[in-house]
Amino acid sequence: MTHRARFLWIGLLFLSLTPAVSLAADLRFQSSTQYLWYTDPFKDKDQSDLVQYLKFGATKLEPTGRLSAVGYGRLSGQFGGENDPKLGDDDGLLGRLYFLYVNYALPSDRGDVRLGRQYVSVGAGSGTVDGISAELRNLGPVHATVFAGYDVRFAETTDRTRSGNYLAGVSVGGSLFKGNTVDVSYLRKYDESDVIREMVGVHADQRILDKAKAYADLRYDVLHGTYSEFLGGAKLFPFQAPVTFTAEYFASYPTFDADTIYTAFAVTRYREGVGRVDYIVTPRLTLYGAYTRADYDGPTADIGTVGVRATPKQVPGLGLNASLDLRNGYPGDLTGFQASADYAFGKAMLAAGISYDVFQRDSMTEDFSAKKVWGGGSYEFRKNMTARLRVEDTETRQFRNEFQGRASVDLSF
Amino acid sequence: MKNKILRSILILLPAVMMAVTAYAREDHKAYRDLKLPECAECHTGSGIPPNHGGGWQKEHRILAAGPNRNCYDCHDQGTCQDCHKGGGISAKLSDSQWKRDIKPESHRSDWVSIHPIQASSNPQQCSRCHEPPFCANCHGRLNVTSLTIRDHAKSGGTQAYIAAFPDQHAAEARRNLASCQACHPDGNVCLTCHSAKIGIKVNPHPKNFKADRIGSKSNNRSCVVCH
Repeated sequence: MTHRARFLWIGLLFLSLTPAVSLAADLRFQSSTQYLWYTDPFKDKDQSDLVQYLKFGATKLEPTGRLSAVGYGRLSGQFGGENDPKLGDDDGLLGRLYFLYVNYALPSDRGDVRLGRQYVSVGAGSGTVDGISAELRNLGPVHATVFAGYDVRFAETTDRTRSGNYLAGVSVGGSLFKGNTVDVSYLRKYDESDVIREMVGVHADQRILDKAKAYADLRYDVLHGTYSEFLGGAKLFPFQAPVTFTAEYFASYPTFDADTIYTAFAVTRYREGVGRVDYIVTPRLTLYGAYTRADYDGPTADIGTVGVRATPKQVPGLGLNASLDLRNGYPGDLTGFQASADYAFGKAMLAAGISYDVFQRDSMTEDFSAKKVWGGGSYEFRKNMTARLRVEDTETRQFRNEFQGRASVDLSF
Repeated sequence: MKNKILRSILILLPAVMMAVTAYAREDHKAYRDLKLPECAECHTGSGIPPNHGGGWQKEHRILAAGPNRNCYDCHDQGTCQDCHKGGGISAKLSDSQWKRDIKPESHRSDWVSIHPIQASSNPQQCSRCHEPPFCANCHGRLNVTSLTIRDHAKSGGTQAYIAAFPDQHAAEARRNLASCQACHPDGNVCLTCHSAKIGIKVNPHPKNFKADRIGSKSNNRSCVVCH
């Protein structure tokens, strides 16, 4: 984001918060001050960051309560190590603005109009813009989204907009009859005023007898004249107990923005078929499992995962998560598990976890293993103030021990 | 004419009113503090499949992109940006980080070594969060000989494999072209053979390549590199 644009948005925000329009405004802030330490893999040196996050929401900016403003961003500074601007080790502070916009809620929950930096999404694509968007809903069976603005591109240390880089999209959909949704969307992306991406999205879903749902979702690349992604699937939940069976077919033809020569290269299609079961045995126990058959236009892979989430009645405050992943085929094999537990007692919480993976990429001649162990705790000093500490040690292919940690003080007021 | 319009309005108005009632979006603000398994009771009862299950990270895209989405009843845009762009104001104890950015759960253990496997599974999923320079930032700094790209490794990390294994090079590049872009962001190394101006002039275009459409809309930006 250029300085000029940033000042413009901040100016707009403060304008909306002036006493004339915000006599009865309700202001809420959330803050997190974090000290991070880690080993920089490029330098093999310990470094640390001080990061300040701030999120705010201002509601009831005018008597009807329809106008509100929200913002979220962070400032960070790095200590130690060598300065390397490309790695984000700037001498000065680095800023990142996630969103900052004024929201006007239309009467009768008919939608919202937003002005400022915001995350936008339609079936044809998504992004972040410095601009305007409108979401219209509850207009009978019709709903619509439209947005346009400067395209915000996030990189390692920047979130920039530039003149000539734009993102615009529109989506119109409706329910043709009960339990049905159809949606058509369009997205256009500009770089230096040239069109580099033009997509059409089509989505349709249908609930069937209150026991199943079928859906299809297509992204069509207009510039390349081919579909970019297709997803077709069905969910079945025939029993009183919440068991959901999912079957999906997904195909991807990766296309590139037209500002790179990769846009002109032939690629092959990736296809996968997925079967998944989610079973909520009780509100305290959830099981899930999935099998995926992936086809890379020739070579294939089999991928499986099973997992459990539990909050045992016998130990109030205890939460358990575990999953097992198996992968065999192109372009590599992986066997791994992840497990974690958290235990809340009074105003404190303790948590710990482990993950262990054995993997071999096609290009490797032997198995490698990686292990990550982490632990942490939090304590609520006051209702609006919590301190957290987390430490992690990872044994990777490159490093015997890679330590990192995070200490934070979180406030809301 | 006026009568026709009035008659149409009289017929259409009740239909619109009925539709407004029948298709009204369910407001979920009242349920935002429920635990996820508790949502299932109401969902299955009303014929809507429960969500936020084991495959939610993968399947939320479709529901979140629909114009009738109700994500904002429980979440703000920070939920999107925290996961897609590394924000950490609400970081859980289980959340790990890459430098100052919070990592999603899918980026498991030794992610630097494992990510090529994951990146090949649907080559477009990385770009949902990362711009191409993100890959180049790391790959441009690594010693090429330390990489273990399938065919680069056969030739000791040099480009000689292209001449030695031309078919395999083409197949690998077509399966995951983004991995080429990760180390060669401007594609200059590709031009050694694939330019129409120099070298052996191997045509890289797919069948039915829409050259005119891409060229006219993008001001021939990528075309003039080779032609």
